[in-house]
Amino acid sequence: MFRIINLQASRSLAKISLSRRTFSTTLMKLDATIFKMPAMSPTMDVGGVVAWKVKEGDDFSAGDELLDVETDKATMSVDAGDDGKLAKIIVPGGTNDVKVGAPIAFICDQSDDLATLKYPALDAASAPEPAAADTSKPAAAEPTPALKASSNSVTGGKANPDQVFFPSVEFMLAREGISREDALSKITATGPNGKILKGDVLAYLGKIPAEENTRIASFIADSEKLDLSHIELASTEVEEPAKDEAKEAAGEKAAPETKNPVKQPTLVKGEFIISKEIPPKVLSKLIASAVAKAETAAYATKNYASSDLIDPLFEDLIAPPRNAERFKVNYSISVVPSKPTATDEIIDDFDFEPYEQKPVKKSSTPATAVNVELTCNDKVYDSKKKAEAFISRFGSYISQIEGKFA
Amino acid sequence: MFRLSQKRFFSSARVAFEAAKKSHDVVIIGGGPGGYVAAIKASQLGFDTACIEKRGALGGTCLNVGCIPSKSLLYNSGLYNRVKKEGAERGLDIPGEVKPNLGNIMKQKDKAVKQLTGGVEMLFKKYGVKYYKGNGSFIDEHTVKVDPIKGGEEAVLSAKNIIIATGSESTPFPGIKIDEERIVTSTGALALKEIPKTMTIIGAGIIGLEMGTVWNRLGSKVTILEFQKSIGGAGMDAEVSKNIQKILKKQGLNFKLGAKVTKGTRNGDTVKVEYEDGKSGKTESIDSDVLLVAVGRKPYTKGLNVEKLGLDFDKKGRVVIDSDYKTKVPHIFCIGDCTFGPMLAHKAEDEGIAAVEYMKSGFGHVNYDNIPSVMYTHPEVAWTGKTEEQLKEAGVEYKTGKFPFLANSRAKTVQDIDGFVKFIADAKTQRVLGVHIIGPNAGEMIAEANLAIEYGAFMRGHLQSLPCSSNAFRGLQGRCHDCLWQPNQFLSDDI
Repeated sequence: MFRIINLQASRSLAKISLSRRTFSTTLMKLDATIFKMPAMSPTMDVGGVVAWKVKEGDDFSAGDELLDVETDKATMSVDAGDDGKLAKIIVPGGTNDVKVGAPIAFICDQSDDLATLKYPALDAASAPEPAAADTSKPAAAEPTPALKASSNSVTGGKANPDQVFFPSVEFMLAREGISREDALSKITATGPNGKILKGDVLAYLGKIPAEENTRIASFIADSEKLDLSHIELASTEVEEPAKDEAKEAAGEKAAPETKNPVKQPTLVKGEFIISKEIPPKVLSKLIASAVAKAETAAYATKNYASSDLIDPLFEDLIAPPRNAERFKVNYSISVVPSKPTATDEIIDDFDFEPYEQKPVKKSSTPATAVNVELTCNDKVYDSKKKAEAFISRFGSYISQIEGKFA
Repeated sequence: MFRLSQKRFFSSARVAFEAAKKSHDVVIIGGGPGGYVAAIKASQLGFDTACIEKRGALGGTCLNVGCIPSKSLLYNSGLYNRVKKEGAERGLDIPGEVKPNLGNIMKQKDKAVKQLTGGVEMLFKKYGVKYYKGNGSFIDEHTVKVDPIKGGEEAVLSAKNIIIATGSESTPFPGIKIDEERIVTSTGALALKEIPKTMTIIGAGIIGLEMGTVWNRLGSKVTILEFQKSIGGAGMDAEVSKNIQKILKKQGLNFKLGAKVTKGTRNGDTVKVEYEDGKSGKTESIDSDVLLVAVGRKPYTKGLNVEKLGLDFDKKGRVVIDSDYKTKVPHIFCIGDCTFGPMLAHKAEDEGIAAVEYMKSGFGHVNYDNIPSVMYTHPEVAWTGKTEEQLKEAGVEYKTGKFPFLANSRAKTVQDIDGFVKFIADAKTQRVLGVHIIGPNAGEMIAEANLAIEYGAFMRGHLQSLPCSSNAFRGLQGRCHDCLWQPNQFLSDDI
């Protein structure tokens, strides 16, 4: 009689914006833009393309539904963030397990003509966008240097070929007619990460003495480190540890190490009884919407009580992202049988609990039980709080449902 | 019923004997700027991290009884002072009298401190750092015991790596007993119950000058006694020190330099300080409502039981480390005020990050040549890199370029004309070695100088490489331009 119903999330996610071609100069040469599989939640890796809402060749404007995407939890529609035209569909509707970031369509401007439209190579989609190679202005077109964890020794060495020149260096090289290649191969660099400094160019040109340049560079390099050369040790009168203390320490070491148990995700559970008779179809629909509503409400609850000592702006700043997944909802609806069904398993685990007075529940009419189990995402610190907020909201919705059928 | 009570008895007895045993990858002792930043960084790098703090609030001296509360008092007292003294001149009609309400000024300060320390605790939760409230002490190289304070839990922590970040405390003055009421350290000076009519400060370092400024603005008559011949402490450039002394004197602070304090005693509601005058050698005395002892800070390693591990200390009580922040025991690190280098919160933060990175990857980086210092008086004083004195000592030939705010349009417009920007560069190569600023917003402007030094700027390169848009930075660049363009100043144009 148990029916597990997977949650159909109705949480509204931020609209997925399409990358606007005109923002990126490197894409100007391409006529069509690759539209990639969007991530509908932070944990989504793959998803299914359920159906396209726009036909190939049709225009769409910002806010229009483009397609439906199915994740492991819900089916959601993807809205256009900008005006455009759907040039070509790569992944047709009904395809499952499409990786996030995989190309699923080509889009273009509404004014583009599909007959003459050029499509970019699909490999380029996964590769990083190439920098515009314009050799006439070498420094400007140079890609940003990759930060290397090399030592910051500045006593002089080979210039880092990936660097963007400082304006002062570029100015001097241009004035003296030194090419970029010559500068990189011939000038000794004393800057951080092999950067050519202005002084290095001046030394290369003979305008300042080269040895002075390296001398001042190594003077600076020396003072960049913590000076640990003149340590005067305090006269240490270390008392010999008493023997029994040593024994104690040894004993402590011999003690078996406590190992961290494997962490189980936190579960928050709730059981709600509906004693009114409600048609099963109506009930399951009502409960599904109650789950959705309670989840939205739980995510919207604030982590802090309003107080003089709390600055909401700051709290929001340090709070986990709003749409980070806090918990997974599983719920089941069952008719409570008149007698509990006992299995053998229960005997093995059975433990007598200390006596506590509990109100005795009496169900006169066959009641319906709604069991909710929330698996908390322990990586997000407020997940348990939100889960508890969910339970309390859900409880109040259930009693409202019950009230309606009184 | 009988069984129940018996069970309870047993369980409570067990708790008393056996503290919870926990193991972590990294345990950090001290939750100040060095410790808490290191803890968050360690957690971000994937270590299972715990931080022990016995103050009852995170953030250390800086957040609780240092930089942060002093900034609150400095800002609010400054606001009051400006409105009162310059309001009419600036076209503000204020009916009645503007008065400071010390109770509310302190409330505003306490609120800011509570929000910020609470914020750090939230950050710990967010990044999964386990926070132990209590005193951490070593049992052995790998084990730290937590003796709980209120709200804490007793625990024994075993860790692969341990960072000592226990900070510093005010240096006491021999023969003067601190009661934090009439004879106070910086902690008491930040929480006085009423505005003292007179205040004496021993020590004209940054703490003494900032606190002197606060109470002077609020109406106290402040006298500062300094053993050295100059103010601002050892790190301040001599020319800067002389200039800011003149400016602060104009504001009403009274300096007695070369004064050797011999005695300080409390008689009821007044404190009598005796000192030998530097020039005459005569013994003189001052009576005041409050005496602030601000003669520096010293490393704090009490209660760590670190002696047991045989770690080395130097004569000033600093934990001896190597360039990777490792102590004699290679998996025990030490950072911040309790080891070498300037006692600055931002230095400790950087070291915390670097120490954790050494743990993770064997490489970390802090540039000790380029740590900015800021004094938040008005005008502010800020500097980075070398002072003239340091270069003279190292035998480096240098040139300086200076430009006063008096000649800057924006400073003139807003009538904030005290101070100057001074560049120090190598004489032969023009490489920038130090920048010193007295002026409004010097603390913000110094960031540009930091960037210039970090990237190895040369005089002309500096101004070409940093196009500015904000007014404050524009000010600095103006300074830089001008000191180059003055025909008799500094550099020739052909380079």
